[in-house]
Amino acid sequence: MLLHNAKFILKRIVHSVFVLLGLSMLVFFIARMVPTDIARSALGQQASEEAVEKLRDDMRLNDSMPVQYFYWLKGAVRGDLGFSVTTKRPVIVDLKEFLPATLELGLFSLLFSLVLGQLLGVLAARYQNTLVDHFSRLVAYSGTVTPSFIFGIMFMLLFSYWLHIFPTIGRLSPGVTPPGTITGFYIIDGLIAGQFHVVGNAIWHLILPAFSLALSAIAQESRITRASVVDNLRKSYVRTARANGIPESKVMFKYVLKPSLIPTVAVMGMDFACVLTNAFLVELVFFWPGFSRYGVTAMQDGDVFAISAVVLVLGTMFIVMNLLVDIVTSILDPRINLAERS
Amino acid sequence: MQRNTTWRALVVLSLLIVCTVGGFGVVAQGAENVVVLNDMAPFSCDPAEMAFWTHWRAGVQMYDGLTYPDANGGVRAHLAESWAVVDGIGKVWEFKLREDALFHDGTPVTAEDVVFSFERMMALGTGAYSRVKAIESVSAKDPCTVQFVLDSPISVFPNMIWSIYVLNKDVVLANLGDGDHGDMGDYGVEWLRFHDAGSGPYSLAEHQVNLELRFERFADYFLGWPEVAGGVPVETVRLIGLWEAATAKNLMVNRELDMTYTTFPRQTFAELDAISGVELVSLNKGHVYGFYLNCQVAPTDDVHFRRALSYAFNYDSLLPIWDSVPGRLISSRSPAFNPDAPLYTQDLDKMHEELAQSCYPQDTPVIITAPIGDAFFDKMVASLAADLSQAGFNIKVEQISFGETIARCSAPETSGNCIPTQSGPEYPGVDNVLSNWATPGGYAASHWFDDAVLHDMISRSRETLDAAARNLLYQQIEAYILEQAAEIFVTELDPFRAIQEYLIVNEEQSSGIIGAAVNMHDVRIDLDKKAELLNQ
Repeated sequence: MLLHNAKFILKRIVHSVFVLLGLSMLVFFIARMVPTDIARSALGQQASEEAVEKLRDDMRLNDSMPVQYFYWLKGAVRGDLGFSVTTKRPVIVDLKEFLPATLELGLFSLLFSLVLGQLLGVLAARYQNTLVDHFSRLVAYSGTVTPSFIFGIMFMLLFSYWLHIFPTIGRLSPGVTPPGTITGFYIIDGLIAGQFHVVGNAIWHLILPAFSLALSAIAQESRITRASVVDNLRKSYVRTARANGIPESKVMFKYVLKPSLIPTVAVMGMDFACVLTNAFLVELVFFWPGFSRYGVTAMQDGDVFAISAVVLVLGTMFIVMNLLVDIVTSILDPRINLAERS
Repeated sequence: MQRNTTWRALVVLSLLIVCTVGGFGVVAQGAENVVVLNDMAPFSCDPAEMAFWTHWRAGVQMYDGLTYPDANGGVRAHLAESWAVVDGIGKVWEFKLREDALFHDGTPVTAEDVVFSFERMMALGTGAYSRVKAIESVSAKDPCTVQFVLDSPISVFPNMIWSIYVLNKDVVLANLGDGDHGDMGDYGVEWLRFHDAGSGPYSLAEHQVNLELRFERFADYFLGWPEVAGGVPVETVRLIGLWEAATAKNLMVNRELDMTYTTFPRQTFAELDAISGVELVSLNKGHVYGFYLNCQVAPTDDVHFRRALSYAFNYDSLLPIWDSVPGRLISSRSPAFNPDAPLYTQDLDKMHEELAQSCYPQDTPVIITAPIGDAFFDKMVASLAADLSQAGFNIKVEQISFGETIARCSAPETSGNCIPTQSGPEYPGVDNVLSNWATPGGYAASHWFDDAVLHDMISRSRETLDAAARNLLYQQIEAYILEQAAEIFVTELDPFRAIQEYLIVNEEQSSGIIGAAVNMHDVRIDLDKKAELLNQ
């Protein structure tokens, strides 16, 4: 079984390379299809024609598209994703700086969705058709239909403007020095450095944007968990457990929740992708210095190398997350044979 | 075993709670001597890469030019205490430097630094290069005198170079990177993107790309820090790259933002104005809004058709909404302003007269190409489309993204017939507006009016040293452009910025020129009032 799963994972990795190659091609050509003078836009109307021509040469904009793509891909394989005309430095440097902020935000919101989604789902199933269930349904509907940035603005108004209990913008308060960069995750770096006030401050800043991002995932996961728990509660082994006098909390958490997690975990990969795409606007609202905000700036400025890199990284994360979800699912339920599933 | 796990979980949870609560306590906000501005974050702090308005707003804090915009549409002495035309025609200029100006490292600003800075701009060809491209040579006559030789006479040369900033030559030379400029390598570009080598009122303390610039006050600034009743100089300036209106409003309410940038919709400014402790400040800029009429595609390639369109528009409809004055090429604040300029008004009889002379019938399709999402443009487009349709024209509106508008306006064939536009001066005087206007190409001049008569008139204005005679020429140029109806001038609007009431802005000093309008040397902060507002 283990060998079968390993083979499957290897196969998926090979497939992923081709998917990424196709994605990179698509993004590269679309980003360059806009009939604008990229070099002139980057340097401004007042720059000399020689300077603009030099930038065109440096960026190989005078070459044909396939040639440009070839050189870009050659660089990308070596970890060189080109030069950002906006930030005036290699795109890879930008990614190293901005990606951890978005990943920290994304993982924090995933944590929110996992804990709150499961909790709400279990409670809704346990107390079917009661006020708790109706409330869970309300959260689910509003979470599904409302864009994350609207939640962001609403939470900002409520918790920052009226109640003054959460900060409005940024990753840390002014005056709080970020910990030395090891991972780029302030929580982890703060813990490593023993700067607990930085960890606390980072968490304080994470709560509103992460919760705004998590709500749509909470909505989805709570409904799936509810359905799954309701289904499992009717199973004969649960009836047997109850008949044997096993406490209800143990029945719920030991015998019902674990199998009920499988469908939820299966959608988590997609949820993480949703979190990352929703982060484009949420990062703008909360002035979050992340990768998604960088992507927005790149798109506004027609920074083609940065746009290509942003989409490529998002695609890679999406693929990796889905692969991880498959692996976790097989761990949760050993009966699942990934090779057969594929 | 299970008990151990529970205990471990409890310990971790307690730790998290303790440090989180500890972090919650870290609130930096107080009546600190810090002013936060929001704008698009500039990515380079090198004066040679300053090409857009966001750059100039940062540049003016760190650097100085030889001249500086005054409130009367001209320039005043700055690093140069005086200047003069040497050859009598405006081709050779000499600037005499003041002797007390210091760079941030304490060394004096010399003629050699000025020569180096201009030669650097000319060699790199980036940023505001077009303003130095007429310089044939620049040399130091003595430690305090710089001579410029131009390739043709330019009467407004001191105006044009106000934001060509002077760098500390030694500092730049000590930080050269690899590059294509021989001994000069990269001319220090790589280093200057994140550091400053200037003499300005503030020095760059931190540059976080795409996020924030932090400046600290330079106490030895050569203009000093004159006392202003009730206020003290701002010690720290933070320019944050934030442009989301809802967030900015929240920050203004919480006093976490002290001064907004100018390009929010008027509705946002009305909401900001309603916040207690916040007021609006006009930038005294003379921003002109209008519609370019594409002179190279049918039917707007016919002057009579263009005039007919100009007569069909109801100019008075928008002015009360914006509480603004009619638009024209020369701002009402310019010394060259002509109150009797032959502006268009809505006149349907004249419209029919012009149509009778046009080679196109009135129902020839007219395309309005406009970027969507700008509150001013949206109103202008709706108003123009309604007026022209009502007058019998066949109007088609294409509202597209700003990026697509830029792309479409890169050629006359795809620009559409009417393109909304706004323009603000980057250096004092009408020359800036005219030179931008008369260089067809791209969105910024998508009227595509390439006219020898106009170019000749502009050349003559540049050769005219006498300001009064030059202003007369500007008025003639304005009348000629109106006669050719290459633009429907809608209105002249003053951009606003919202500021906290505890900031004291010297509006008399402000010229409204992009960059100079947010020079924090002109701002003082009332810390007592700030503390009072924060405690409310």
